[in-house]
Amino acid sequence: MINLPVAFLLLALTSMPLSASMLVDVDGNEHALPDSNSKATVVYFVTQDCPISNRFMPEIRRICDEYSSRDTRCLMAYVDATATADQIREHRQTYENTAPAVHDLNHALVALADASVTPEAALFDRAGNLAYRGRINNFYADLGTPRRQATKHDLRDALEDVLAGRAVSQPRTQAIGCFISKFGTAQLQETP
Amino acid sequence: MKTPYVPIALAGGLALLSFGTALAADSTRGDAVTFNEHVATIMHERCASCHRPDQAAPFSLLTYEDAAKRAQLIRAVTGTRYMPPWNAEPGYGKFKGERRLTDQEIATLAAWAEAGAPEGPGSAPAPPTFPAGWLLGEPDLVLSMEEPFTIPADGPDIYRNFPTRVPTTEDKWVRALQFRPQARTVVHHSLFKADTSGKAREFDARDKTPGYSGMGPIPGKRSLSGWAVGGQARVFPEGSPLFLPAGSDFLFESHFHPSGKQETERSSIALYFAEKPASRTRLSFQLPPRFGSGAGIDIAPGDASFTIGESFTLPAAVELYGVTPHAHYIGKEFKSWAELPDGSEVPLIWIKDWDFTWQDMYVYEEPIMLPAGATIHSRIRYDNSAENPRNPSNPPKRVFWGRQSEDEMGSIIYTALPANESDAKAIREAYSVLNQRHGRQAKEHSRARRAAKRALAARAASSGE
Repeated sequence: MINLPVAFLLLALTSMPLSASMLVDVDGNEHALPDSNSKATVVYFVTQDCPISNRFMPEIRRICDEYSSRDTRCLMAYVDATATADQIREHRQTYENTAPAVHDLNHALVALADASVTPEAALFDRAGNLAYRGRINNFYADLGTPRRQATKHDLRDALEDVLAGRAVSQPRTQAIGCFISKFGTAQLQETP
Repeated sequence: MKTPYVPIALAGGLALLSFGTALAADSTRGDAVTFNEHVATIMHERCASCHRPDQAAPFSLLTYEDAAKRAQLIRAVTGTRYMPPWNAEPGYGKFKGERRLTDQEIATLAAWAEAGAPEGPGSAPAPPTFPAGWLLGEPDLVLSMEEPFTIPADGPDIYRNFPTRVPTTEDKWVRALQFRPQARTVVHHSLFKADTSGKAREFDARDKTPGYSGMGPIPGKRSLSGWAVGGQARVFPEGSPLFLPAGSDFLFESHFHPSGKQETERSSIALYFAEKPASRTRLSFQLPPRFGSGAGIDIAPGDASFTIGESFTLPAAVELYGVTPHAHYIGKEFKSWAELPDGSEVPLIWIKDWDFTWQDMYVYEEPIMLPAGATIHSRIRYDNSAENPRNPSNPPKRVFWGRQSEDEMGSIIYTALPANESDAKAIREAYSVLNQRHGRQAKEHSRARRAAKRALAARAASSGE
């Protein structure tokens, strides 16, 4: 299924720490990962039509806004390889999300963070170590079981740890959401 | 000594072996499960009524691409039976519009996801077509919310009531209706009421934004059924249309869940009137009566097995038409059955994992005939533990009966027609005895509740010092 160059690329990306790679967002701007200019980078894995992912968009925007002044960078990773550029543009407008958005066509970022569902957050420190990966908070106890409100804010807690230079107390959690599908990624693997 | 066990062990091993082979053969079904051959039909027949463009579901499940990129999600949500949404236990009452997959269909979807969601040779059957417009033809009257209501992008679920003036100058009898939400992704359910007291309009006037929230009492409020996601048109039994008094307000009691972006809702309802008033008395009774206000609801924090219930013996035969379970967030399990004079039991409804967000009336596929002397039982269990993710209080608090969503209520509402119209009065009178007893108990509980709340407040105040 996976051809050789891609397998090497995935291998290279998954072995930590990162050799700096350059991500190109949907507006054509480049973003280095890791980035020595930021203390932390949060990559949010989303899909344009997952209702759970969408319900988190306001909280994602709030976290991006609140932490932007604290040297923290925010990147959206759209992981549905079949999504069109128009769909992604429309989604960003609808949910008023201005954070840079990458269309993760070959799932390089998915592989890098070992993300499995949307929404899911991956928090990288300045050196590119994956300090946290998992749910944004525990608003959903299960598929179809939202709480009245979230009682644990795992990503915010992890951000506080990283920004304070501490080890993240809970570095991995299980996110609840829509499973990330490889559908549509294979046909795009010829382009490196 | 050991010899006798050998054949048994061998037989057991063989049985296991053949069982394993049977399972494997079943899951692969000889050749691969494909979309075109196996999965498309399930999607079209079981999912597409909601999962198609402009319906309540967030995405369509019509084409191969629609389904293939969600194969793992489909496998997960059908495996737990979260989808299609249907909370009543199978085999415990047979209801209209049951949205259930068979075990075989669930296994097929799992095998398909496991195999990597192949499309298969040939082409898929054509997706079904759905009628445009109102399902029952041109309505006699269409009512819409007087003003649109804005649902914010984020925050907890919203429960809100919208009185809408009914322009008819004479009494009407509703034989059928169909609800149509506008912002389909955020409207979860709506219960319909008729208010002749003007109270709902007063509540609305006090609230600056359209409609009003809260569960303030409305004297003489009449139920006109309701709608939940996935619901279609509702047709009432022949001879038993619902009363819509002249000059009343039609009340939408709606539940919204924010979707991540701001939405605007203006619900409409199509009404179809009967030519003649009801010829049969519509009986409605609750077990326990009065939404459980006399059932002694006082649930300790952490208690996962607090249970209430009531029984009612019918003095005359009825045709049971439908049941509507009601509790708030920590209601967990509902069970109701009828015990017949010959000792046999008729299952009526069983919900093992109550979800407040799926308020619905369960209408029997065929009305259930209950003879004179049959006793209807209800049992409602609550889970006030911290492990219940639906518990609105964290950590759990002591919960009493009350109208707010952090309080609890509990009853099963039964809708029935008397088998013989002449028995209607006797059935009402028999129920009235039970209802009055609960009225007296409700007063006692209310006193006890106030005393307990005062004590709790005093303790909180002294510990705060």
